[in-house]
Amino acid sequence: MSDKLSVTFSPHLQDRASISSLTYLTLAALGPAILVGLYFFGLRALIIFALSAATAVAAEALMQKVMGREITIRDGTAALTGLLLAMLLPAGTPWWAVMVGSAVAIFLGKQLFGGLGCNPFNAVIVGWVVMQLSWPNAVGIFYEPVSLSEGLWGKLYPLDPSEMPLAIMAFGDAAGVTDMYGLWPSLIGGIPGGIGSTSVIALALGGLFLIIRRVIPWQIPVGFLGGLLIFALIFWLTDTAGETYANPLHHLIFGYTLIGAFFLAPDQATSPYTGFGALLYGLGVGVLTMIIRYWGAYQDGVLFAILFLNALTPTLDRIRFKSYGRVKAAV
Amino acid sequence: MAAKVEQLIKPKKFRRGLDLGPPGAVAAQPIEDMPLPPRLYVPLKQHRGALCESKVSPGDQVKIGQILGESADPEAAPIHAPVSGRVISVADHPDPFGRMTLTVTIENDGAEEWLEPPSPDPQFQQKKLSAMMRAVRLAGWVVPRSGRPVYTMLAPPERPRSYIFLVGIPQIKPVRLLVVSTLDLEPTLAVNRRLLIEAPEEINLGVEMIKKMVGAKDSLTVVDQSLNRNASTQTAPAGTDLKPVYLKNRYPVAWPELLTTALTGLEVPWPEGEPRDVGVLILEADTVLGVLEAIQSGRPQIDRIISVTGPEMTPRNLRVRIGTPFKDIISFVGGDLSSVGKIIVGGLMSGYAQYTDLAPVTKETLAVTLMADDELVAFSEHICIKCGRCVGVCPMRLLPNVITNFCEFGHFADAAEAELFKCIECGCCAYVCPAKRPLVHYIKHGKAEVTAMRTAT
Repeated sequence: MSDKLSVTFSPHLQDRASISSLTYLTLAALGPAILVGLYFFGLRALIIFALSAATAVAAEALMQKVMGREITIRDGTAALTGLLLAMLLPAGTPWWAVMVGSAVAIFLGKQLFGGLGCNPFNAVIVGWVVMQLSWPNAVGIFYEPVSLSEGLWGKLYPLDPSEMPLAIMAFGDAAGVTDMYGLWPSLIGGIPGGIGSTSVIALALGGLFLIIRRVIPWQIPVGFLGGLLIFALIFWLTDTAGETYANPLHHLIFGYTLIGAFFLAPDQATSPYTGFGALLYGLGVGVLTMIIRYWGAYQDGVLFAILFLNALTPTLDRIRFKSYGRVKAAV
Repeated sequence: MAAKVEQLIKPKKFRRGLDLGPPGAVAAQPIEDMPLPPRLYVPLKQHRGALCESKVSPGDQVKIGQILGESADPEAAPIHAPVSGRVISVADHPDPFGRMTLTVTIENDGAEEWLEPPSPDPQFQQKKLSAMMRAVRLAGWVVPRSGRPVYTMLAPPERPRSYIFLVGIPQIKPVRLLVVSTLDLEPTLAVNRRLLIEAPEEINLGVEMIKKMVGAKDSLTVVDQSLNRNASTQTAPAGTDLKPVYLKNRYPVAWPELLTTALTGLEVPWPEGEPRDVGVLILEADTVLGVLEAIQSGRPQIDRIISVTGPEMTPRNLRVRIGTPFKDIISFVGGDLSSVGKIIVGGLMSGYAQYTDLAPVTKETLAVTLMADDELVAFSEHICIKCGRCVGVCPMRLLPNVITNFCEFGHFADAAEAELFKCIECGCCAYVCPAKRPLVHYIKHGKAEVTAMRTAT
């Protein structure tokens, strides 16, 4: 029997969590938000989701084949990138833009740097930024949510950018937004926005699931939402006339806030690995988001804020606890 | 005096590491004696010091307790014959760490003849300190995990040690607090826990002796929190003077350096130091009993109590003679040899996998753990995905991802800069790694490379 004994270094046990199990848990957590997107934006949304995920998987397989690497599409990370990108897009995004954006996310955002774990910037946001800058009219116009009552395909009622909730809020008329759409529809997701990023309740459910299952560290969402709320609160409180700055809670509901907090900012490769660094990173994203929303050229700062803090991640990684036993002189 | 202990005890909750669950079924098994094997392999290095010089030659008749090997190195412990019989050979043989070590092979004659049968000395409590210390040294007891002879832990330091931060300042290291640990290092180990249940009076007596020897004013006993709910174990230590402190045995808090911090809040200077640098001496229950036996009757260390666990078998706690090859233990406990994929000496988290079942039990053996073929886990060469899980569990607050990335790509000097040598190789990082990277392997490799680089220059 001694010829078949295995010899390895310790430990001889491993946790059950693996790259693919963590990715599949994240995909499961996206489920509710995707279903809400399908309800409000119909089959168009389904096509965008499927096309984006399929393109990402194909792009990853192609790139890995070309580079002569092991093909790792089965771990689900490429599909996750594709799905997350699709969730940010408006319902009327043309099919070619979806495919280009998704392929760019994988090529430029991920594989060019060496694949999973090596990318300095969030691959999803890299893809989105390229689309945003290349075809602002195709992916920058959002549509009124319609429910399945308008037919499986839904109908596209484009909104002028100045009619978007965040644009209205930027003019200080926060109450007007909830009046326009109603409080419950706003929470459930019946507001204009990306096809998977409108539903506060569905995204929060998915995010809590990820935190409870320890897929993402709690520090990033807590820092992000805390920083965003505190910053917004300060301005809201100083704004006694109530005309310039909106109620902080509105900033949670509209825009990419929650998908950013739970799914984009906690991306493993591009966020700090120490708990304290993660908290600072989250705070930074939250505050920068509000700065862009208040004074920036873009309506929604979440994605740019994440991208900016991604660049700071190596610096934040240098903040760490003293290691054990760096003593305090002997007793 | 009680107030003094309380001054030193500032428990600091151990939050890192892993929750590996409660101890396994092995914790409920009483300690039994294992029958003697026909042939024993006694390595002449069962401690971290130098190899012992052989005092016997092939063909000699030896009796139990007869010295087989000795060395002048203070970090070496004398090695005694575990059985009576005939020396077959003195030659290289695999030891549990995978090395070839000079080993005395003894054919057991079954007569169980002692050179000097241990006779309990009724006056042993009145012995002089130097006589007690001498008895412990001659008995050859070794602390299993560190491989240090027990007497070096009890003795006052012979010469001041130099530290990076205290260059040249001579140190006396008084023991302010003696800690008896009845925690087991891993869930598949249960010897200390069993000893607390089965022999609390002896542990108490041993603690009294050791307190005298090291001049400690106070002692306490660390007991697994899961025993706190159990009425029978709760009262047993209370009948003696063991002062139990209940602690959740979160892996690897039972390791001395971390236990020191969990109890006193003080950190041991690491990696150069030991708990005694902050006034704490930690001994495990089995070591305490060994010291007591040595003082009481002069019995040398010829056996060890080990936990044996494996698939599809009843786990056992066995008193095994030093030198018993693993194959005899496995066949005694009825382990299914055909499906065994790994023989691990020690626990599943930090044990050594064996390439042969002929390696013997030594003074450094804590347990024998078998794994079935289908239970084996595999490592992968995947690159680090920077998830940071290893950073959160590292009990030494290191950055295992950074250190192992340096080691993987050959930047050993950078790895040393990133405090490679602080790693205690507990395996928590490799356990949680979702990419299944062999982090401990990279770290051991790095340590070897850096050591080689330093000795070369």
